[in-house]
Amino acid sequence: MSERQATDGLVPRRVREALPYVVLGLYALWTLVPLAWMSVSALKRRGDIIQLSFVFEPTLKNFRLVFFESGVPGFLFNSVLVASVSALVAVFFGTLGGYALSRSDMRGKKHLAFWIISTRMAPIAVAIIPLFFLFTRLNLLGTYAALIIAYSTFNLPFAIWMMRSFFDEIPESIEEAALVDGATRWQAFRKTLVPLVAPGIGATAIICVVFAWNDFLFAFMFSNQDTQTIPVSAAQQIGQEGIDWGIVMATGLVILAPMVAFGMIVREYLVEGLTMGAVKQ
Amino acid sequence: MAEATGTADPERQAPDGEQGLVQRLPTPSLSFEMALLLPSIVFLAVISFIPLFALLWMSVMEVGIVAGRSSEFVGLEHYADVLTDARHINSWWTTVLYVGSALVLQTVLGVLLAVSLDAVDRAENVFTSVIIMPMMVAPVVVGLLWDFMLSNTFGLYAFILHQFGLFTETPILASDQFALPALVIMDTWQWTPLIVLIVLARLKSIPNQVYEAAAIDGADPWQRFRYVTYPLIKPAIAIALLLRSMDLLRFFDKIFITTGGGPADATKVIGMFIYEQGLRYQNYGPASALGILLLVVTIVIGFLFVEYFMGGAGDDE
Amino acid sequence: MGNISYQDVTKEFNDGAIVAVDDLSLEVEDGEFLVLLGPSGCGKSTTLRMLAGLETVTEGEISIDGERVTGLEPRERNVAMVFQNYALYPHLTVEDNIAFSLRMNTDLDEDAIREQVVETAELLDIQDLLEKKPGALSGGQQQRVALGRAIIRDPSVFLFDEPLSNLDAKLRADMRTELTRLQQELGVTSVYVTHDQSEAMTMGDRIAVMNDGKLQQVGGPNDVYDHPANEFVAGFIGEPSMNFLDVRFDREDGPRLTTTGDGGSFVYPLSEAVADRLGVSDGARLTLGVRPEDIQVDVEATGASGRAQRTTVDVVEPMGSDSFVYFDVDGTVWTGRTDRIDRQPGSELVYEFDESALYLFDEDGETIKSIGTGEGSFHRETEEPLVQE
Repeated sequence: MSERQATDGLVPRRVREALPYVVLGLYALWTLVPLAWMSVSALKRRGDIIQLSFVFEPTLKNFRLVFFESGVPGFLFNSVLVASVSALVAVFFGTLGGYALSRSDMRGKKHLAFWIISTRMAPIAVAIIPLFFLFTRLNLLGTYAALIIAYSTFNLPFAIWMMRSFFDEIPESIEEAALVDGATRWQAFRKTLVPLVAPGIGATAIICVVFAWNDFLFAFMFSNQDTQTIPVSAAQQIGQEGIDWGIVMATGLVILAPMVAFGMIVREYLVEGLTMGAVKQ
Repeated sequence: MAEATGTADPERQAPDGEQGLVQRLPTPSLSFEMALLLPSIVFLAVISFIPLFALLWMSVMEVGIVAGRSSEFVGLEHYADVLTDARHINSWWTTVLYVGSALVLQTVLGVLLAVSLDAVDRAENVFTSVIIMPMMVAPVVVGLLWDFMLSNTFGLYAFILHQFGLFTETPILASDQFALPALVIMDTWQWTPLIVLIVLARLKSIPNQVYEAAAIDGADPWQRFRYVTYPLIKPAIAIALLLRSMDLLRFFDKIFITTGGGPADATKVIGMFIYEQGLRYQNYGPASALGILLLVVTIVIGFLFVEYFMGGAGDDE
Repeated sequence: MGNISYQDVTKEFNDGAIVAVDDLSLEVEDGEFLVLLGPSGCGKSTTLRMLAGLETVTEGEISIDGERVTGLEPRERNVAMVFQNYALYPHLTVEDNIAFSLRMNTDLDEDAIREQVVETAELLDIQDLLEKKPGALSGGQQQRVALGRAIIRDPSVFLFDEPLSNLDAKLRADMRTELTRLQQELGVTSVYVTHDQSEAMTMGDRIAVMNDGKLQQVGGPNDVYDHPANEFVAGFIGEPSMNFLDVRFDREDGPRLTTTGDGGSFVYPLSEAVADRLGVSDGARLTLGVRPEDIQVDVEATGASGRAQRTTVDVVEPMGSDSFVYFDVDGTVWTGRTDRIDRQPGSELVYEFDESALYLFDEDGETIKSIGTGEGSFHRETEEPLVQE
């Protein structure tokens, strides 16, 4: 085979073997340049940013401004609170619901499952208008609850489907063994199944946090000065006259760094998560 | 761990009168599972049906926003509007252009990169880690970052373009011809990795013998891709296309941040349009009608996705 | 202690679209080892799972030890079950796996639990594995842990759902012996599901053969082998399986069986004594059956019985101790199990089988005659008129 490969095609073998590395290298560069430029700019003084050079005196001034002289720490707190609570809620009910969906043999389960996931497919613009009225009516605008509910509209169906695909992988005989061994349905679920899907629960929770954390439109509509999340505050920094890009980039880094780290942690679940279980790595 | 028997059993705690009933249920398991699923169903019903009915209602009404002005039933008038009005038609076209070109670009790049990742022996992990990073970045930050990169005064990419004499007068995001392509590129930067991961997962599952057999049969590398790899990854590409098209229709954060739909409606995709009509100008009727239509489109795509690539939403035994 | 009783038990799935178990009645005595045998999809596992409480019963009653258990949860039935894939809890150590049911069902303190676990582990020779997780064990070891988990409960009934089918052949034979020994030692009523008839024959006190959700026959291993209740049981039990041929029964010119196939040459003369006791009328269509081991080959073509048949060899498979010879009988391939022979495909073969080895089944598949020529071999008490052509 190798000899044939060495001669076939018009491209010499060495070039062909190097080609994938060239493609990947170029694409990696394309991916990294904006991120690198962002990081560099966050370390520049306002005056240096207009100079497109890499030679400058780095400063942490932008980060200092972001962390100590702006509302960002408060917004960061809001983001952490809203993202983690909504992820916990979604994962808790998603684990229960995913198990039920995986094990139930009721009729119409297929339709129920599709309906659940379809609630997540609604375009944001479509969901946002009626939710806005709903929250206005319930006096929830500007509260954390509004954001948590809004995030649950996409995180809960996601968590149910993810957890269902994890439960599907566990043979039913495991919990049947527990039932015969004297466990109640709840004990069998709690003591044998939940420990087995624990890594899946963790991955689902992290992906839920990422979804919630990265949201902008819901937060923009449903939060107020006190409850706004950090992406909203970042967006508002450019509404003003004379954008200070150093500060904007520093804020951006604060938003993206933890999520990129999370992405690396759950990398092996990422495809499964982002395709709602259709593709497994 | 050593719990007393049965004390934690919710069914046992049923009132005495119901005990016999619980045990005589034809399928006791059903009630347990439904009990676990019920809170989610109730929540999702509330946040999906109420908004849906509200949307449907608003789409056939002329909603009175000023206090004292009552709402008026107008039938399908709004639907007729959103399908015939020039601005709406323009928005549909913009959406088709935006979604279509993003899909083509991302699929071509995604397959190329996935095949490359499958071909390299070393550093696959490093390349993958780098490539997937943008997926984790908040769309707002992507928008801000590219706004910055393309800024005529501060932007690195704008500076490079200037060296070729491009966009020296109007910034790219303010150009009614090139703002939409710029947005497509932004989305491509962020979401090509998803296609890479989906296609790569499929590629990894193709046994090497298939390629060896093809090579022995005399296929050159291009033929091997065309007649072996491509047919095998086609389902994965379809998954990626459906998922991406749903998300491209769903989100408009990046557009909101960078161009806000401008210049002169050049980047006003349907999502952006609905948002603007509904929440900025309070034209609830047309916005709702448009929303319903967009919802139908995404649900159909979602249905295709679930039906064909997930083996249905589950066995309906 | 526990005897088991199924009374008219029916299990339907999909609102009756699938009848997995159809009106099954069965008694298992205290201490008995009953094997539920049948092809996959015959309802044997469902029958077992209904006993465990893992499936609900559509109609009928099941009792264990005289107590009706039909609506009870699995945990309320005091049964222990060994699963095909062992179903060990992957996140727990062997010790915790075995101790699980004690922690669920009893108030024993940890020392007492530990003591019982060690005792059980010693019985199964797995005391060295207690700290390990199931993932680190071989198939045979996992099987023993699963057994330990069942034994420690001291249940009234053991349920086995094809427990040996994931083991390799050598280990399977060892475990078969060991399981039988354990069951006899513990004296616990056991119901064992398998599709492997050699397992059923070697292990069961009695075998219940199922097909299509219906109980076909219950009896001792030799009983179901010698006197199958119908064509299905006859064909299912025995390896290689029984040879069949569609024949017609004729009385004029002396009783005999003639093949019904076009251009067939098979003619088998019957003695008057046997023919009289069959209880079938002249011209009746029957199915003839004969076990491979009852076929003699290379007999004299002109033997006194007149039952020798001429045919051609399809192929001979040497099996070491003996040979399987495949040959053509009017369009169907029969198997003969013989002493070692060596024969070219296509060569001539003369074979014969004794009248006592002859099985006959009616058009509904019910047995008319089983092995032997004695009292128990004829299954029709009185002559029933059969539909004639």
